[in-house]
Amino acid sequence: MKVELPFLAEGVEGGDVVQVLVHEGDQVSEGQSLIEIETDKATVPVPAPAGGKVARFLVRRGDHLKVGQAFVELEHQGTEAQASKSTAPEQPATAPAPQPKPATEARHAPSSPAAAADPAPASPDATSAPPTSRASHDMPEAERFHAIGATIPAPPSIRRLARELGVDLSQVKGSEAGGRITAEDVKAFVRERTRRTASASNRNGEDRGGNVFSTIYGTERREAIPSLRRKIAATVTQAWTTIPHVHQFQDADITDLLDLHQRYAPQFKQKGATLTLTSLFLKAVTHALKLYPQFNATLDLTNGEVIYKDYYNIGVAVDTPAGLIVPVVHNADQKDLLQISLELADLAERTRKREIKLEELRGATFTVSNMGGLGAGPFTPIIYPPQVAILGVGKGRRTPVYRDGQLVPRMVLQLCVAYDHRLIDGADGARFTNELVKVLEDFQAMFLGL
Amino acid sequence: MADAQYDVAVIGAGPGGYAAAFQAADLGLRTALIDDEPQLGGVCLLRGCIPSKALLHVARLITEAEEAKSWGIQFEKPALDLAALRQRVKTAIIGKLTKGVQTLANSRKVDVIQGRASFKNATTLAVSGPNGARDLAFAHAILATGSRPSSPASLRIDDPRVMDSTSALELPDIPTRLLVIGGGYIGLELGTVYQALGSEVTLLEALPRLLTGVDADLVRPLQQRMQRRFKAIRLDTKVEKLEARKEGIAATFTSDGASTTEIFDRVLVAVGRRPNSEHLALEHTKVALSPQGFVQVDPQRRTAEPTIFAIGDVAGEPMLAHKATHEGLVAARVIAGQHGAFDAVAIPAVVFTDPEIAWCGLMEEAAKAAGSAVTIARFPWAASGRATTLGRTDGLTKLVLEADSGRILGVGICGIGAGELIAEGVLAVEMGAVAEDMAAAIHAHPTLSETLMEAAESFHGHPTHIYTSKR
Repeated sequence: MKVELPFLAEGVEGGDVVQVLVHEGDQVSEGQSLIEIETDKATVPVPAPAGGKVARFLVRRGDHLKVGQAFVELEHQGTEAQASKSTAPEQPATAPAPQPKPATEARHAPSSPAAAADPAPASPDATSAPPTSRASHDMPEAERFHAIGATIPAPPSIRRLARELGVDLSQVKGSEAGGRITAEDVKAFVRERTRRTASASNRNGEDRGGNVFSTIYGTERREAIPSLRRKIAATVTQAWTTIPHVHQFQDADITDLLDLHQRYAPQFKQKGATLTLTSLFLKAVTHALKLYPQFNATLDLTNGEVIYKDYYNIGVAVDTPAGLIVPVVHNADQKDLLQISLELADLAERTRKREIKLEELRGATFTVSNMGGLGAGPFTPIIYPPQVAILGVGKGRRTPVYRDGQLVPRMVLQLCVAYDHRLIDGADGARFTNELVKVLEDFQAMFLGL
Repeated sequence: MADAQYDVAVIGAGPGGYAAAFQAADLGLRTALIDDEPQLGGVCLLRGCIPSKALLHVARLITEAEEAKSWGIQFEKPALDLAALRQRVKTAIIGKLTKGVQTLANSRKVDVIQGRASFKNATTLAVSGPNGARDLAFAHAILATGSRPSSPASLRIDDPRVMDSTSALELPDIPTRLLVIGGGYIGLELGTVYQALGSEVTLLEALPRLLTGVDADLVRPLQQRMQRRFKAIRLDTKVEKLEARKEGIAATFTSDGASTTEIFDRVLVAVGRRPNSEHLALEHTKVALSPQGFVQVDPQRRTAEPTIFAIGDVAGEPMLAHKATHEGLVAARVIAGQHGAFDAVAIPAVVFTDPEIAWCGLMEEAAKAAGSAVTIARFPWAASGRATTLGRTDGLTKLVLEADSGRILGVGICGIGAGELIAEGVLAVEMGAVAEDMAAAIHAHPTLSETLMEAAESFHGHPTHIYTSKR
C-alpha cells in the first residue's frame, strides 16, 4: 500500500521532509514514526497507518510533501497484515493493494519478466514485483519523453526569455503546432502569474524574478528556502500588502511595574516560575482587549462581517534559530500570572527546540512581540492575519521625566500598537493604547477594577 | 574580488577556451587565456578536427579522381609529395588559423599566457612556462583543458610505428599495411585518409558494429563502401598484443576464440579519448570529478567550486569542439551576470568519412528503447536527383518524429555532404519545428537538402519522388 501524508492540521498543506526515520526493508509497526516533516511552524512525525515492510520510499530528505501525496510504499506480509488487521478491516489478505497492469507494463519494461509472465498474481508475493519498473511506468508520458532528451518544444531564444523571466517552460502550454511555445505564450504565462499573485488568494510572497546566478561581485551561495521561511514570507507579504497598517507609538512609564516585578519575582521563583515582563504584558493586553473588542476580532470581508471573539488567545513571538515562530497562550483571560508565566516559559522552550505542537501555534487573536530582550526597539510590527492588531514592545530606558516639579529618573518603555485601519479608527487605536499604558503604569488599578 | 588580477582565467586555448575568453573580454571582463603550447587553438586546430579534415579533403580528391573513370575521364595515378602536403597543412592551414586566433585575442585585449596552470586554491593559479613561474589571482576560472587519446596498457609498446591520432596526423609516411584499432569516428576518418593515400587498411573493432551508438541505418551505406575500399573490417575482434619486429608490428587478435597474428607496417590506436583533468591540482579546490575523470558541472557549467567553471571535453561527453564552443559562451555569459544555461537539445555529431554521417537530437534506437511514440521518416538517396548527378546515391536521410504531432525530434543523414546538411536538422529540432514546417519550406532543386524536405513530406502523405503503398 502507498502511504499518503495525512491531514495534519487546518491550513497545513504540507511540509519538507527533514528526517527519514526508517529504512527500506525495515519492518514497521502501526503507529511507528516513518518520517519527520517540517510544516509551517512545527516538525511533526508521520506515523505508519499499519504495520508492514517498507518496500520503497517515494520521497527523500529535503523533498516537499503535500497532504495526500504518497511518500512510502508499505508491503503487508501475510501474517503481518493479520496481526494488525484493525487498521485494514475489510482488506482480504489475498488482494494486495497495488494492481500491476501487466499488458502495458510488459510493453514498457520488457526486461522485467516477473510482472509480464505472471499476469494474474494469485499470491501476495506478486506485489513484490520490481518496484523500479513500476516507477518508470508511472512516469507521465511527457516526463519520460523529457528524460530521454526530447525536451520542451521551445526555440533557444524562447528558452532564454523564460530563464530571464523565471518561467518554468514545463508549466507553459505551447500554442503552436507540436505544442511549440512562442514568446507570446511565455509572456501570457507571466501576465497570468502576476495576476494570480496580485489577487489575495494563493499569494506566496516569493519574488520569482529572473534566475540571475553570477559571482561577478564576489562569491555567493544558494540555498533552498526552508518551509518555515516560505511561510513567513507568504504571511508577511499578504499582511503588508492587504492590511492598511496604522502604527501608534506611546511611552509607558514602567518604573512602578518594575518595582512590583522585583517585589514578587522571588515568590514566583519559589513556585518554579519566572515572572517576566512579557507575562505582565499579556495580562495588560487581555485587559485592554476586553474593553476594546474590535482589537480581538477578524474582518470577514467576503461576508461583510466582523467576527468578535469571546476568547483571548495571545500569540507571543519567539526568536528561534530557524526563524520567527509564534506560540499561543490560549485563554489568557482565564489564567493567572503564575499560570501564564509557567506556560510561557514552557512554550518558548519547546518552540526553540521545534517540539511545539501545531495546535499550540494556532488560534491567536492578538500578538505580542517583545524586542526588549534584544535591547532593541521601538519598531513597527506587522499584523498577523487574520488578527487585526499587534503590540510591539521595545527596550525600557532610564529616562529623565519631569514629575512633581522636578526631573526624576524613570524607566520608560516605548510601545507600538499596529492595527488594521479598515476595522479600527485612530481614536479607538489611541484609546486602546492609552488603556494599555495606563495598566502598565498602574497595575494595581486594573486589579482593583479601576 | 578587488585584488584579483583577472575576472576570468581560461585554462586551455582550444575552441572552447578561446571562445570563452573572447566572449568574456567582449563582455568587459579582464581575461587571461592560458595554454602550455605556443600556438593557440588546442587539439582541434593543431592535431584534431582541422588537420584531419584537410587530409580527408585530399583523400576525397584522390578518390574522386579515381572514380572519374566511370564518367569517362581518366587520370594518371596521382604522385604524392608528402613533404608538400605536410607543409601545406602545417603553414597554410594550421599556421594561418592559429595566427588568426592570436590576432583576435590581441585585438580583444585578452592576455595570452603560455604555461601550465595548476590550482593553489579556489582563486589562485600557479602558472609555470617558458617565461618563468608566477601566481595568478582570478575571480573565476574556466577549465577548458580538453582531452587526449587514451590507449590501453596492452597496446602501449615503445615503437614509433604504433601511432595515436596525433602522430598519424603528422603523416610520417604512407605505410603499405596499416592496422587501425578502433571502429569509432577517429579510426574510420584516419583509415579513410590512409587508404586513399595508398595504404592497405585493416580495421579492427572489439564491438559487433562500427560507430557503436550511431543509428544502424546511417552506418550501413558507410560500412558497405568501406568494406569495398578497406582490406578488411573485422568486428567482434580484440587485439591481444602488439609486438615490435624488424619486419613490422605483429598484431595478435582474437575473434570467436580463434587467434591470428598479422604483420603491419604501422598501427593506429584510436580506441577513445580521456579528459585532461589530472595535473591541475584540482584537489586544492572543491571541483568534483566523475568516475571517468570528467569534471562535474551544472547547466551553467559551474563546478562544485563556485569560482570555477568547466567546458568542453573535460566537462563530459559528447567530446565535440562545437559543444565546447557553445559551453564556453554560456560560461562566460554566466560569469558576466547574464542568464545563461547549456540547454542545447540537438548537438550535431558528424563523422567525416566518405560518405559522411551526421545526426542530431533523438535517434531511433534511443526513442524505441525509451518506449516513446515516434514515427520514422526515411528518404533513400537513390530517389534523389542530385545524388544521382553526383554518382553518390549511397545515402539516407532519416527523421525521428513525434508520433501524433509530427514534431521533429531527431535528424540523421548518411551521404556526401551530410555534415553540412545536418545544420537544417539542428535548427528544426531546436526550433521545435514539425514535419509540416520542413516539408512546406521550399528547398532548392536539385540539391541534397531536398532529401530532408521529402522525408518530412512522408509524415503526412507521399513524398514526390517515392511511392510506397504503406498507408
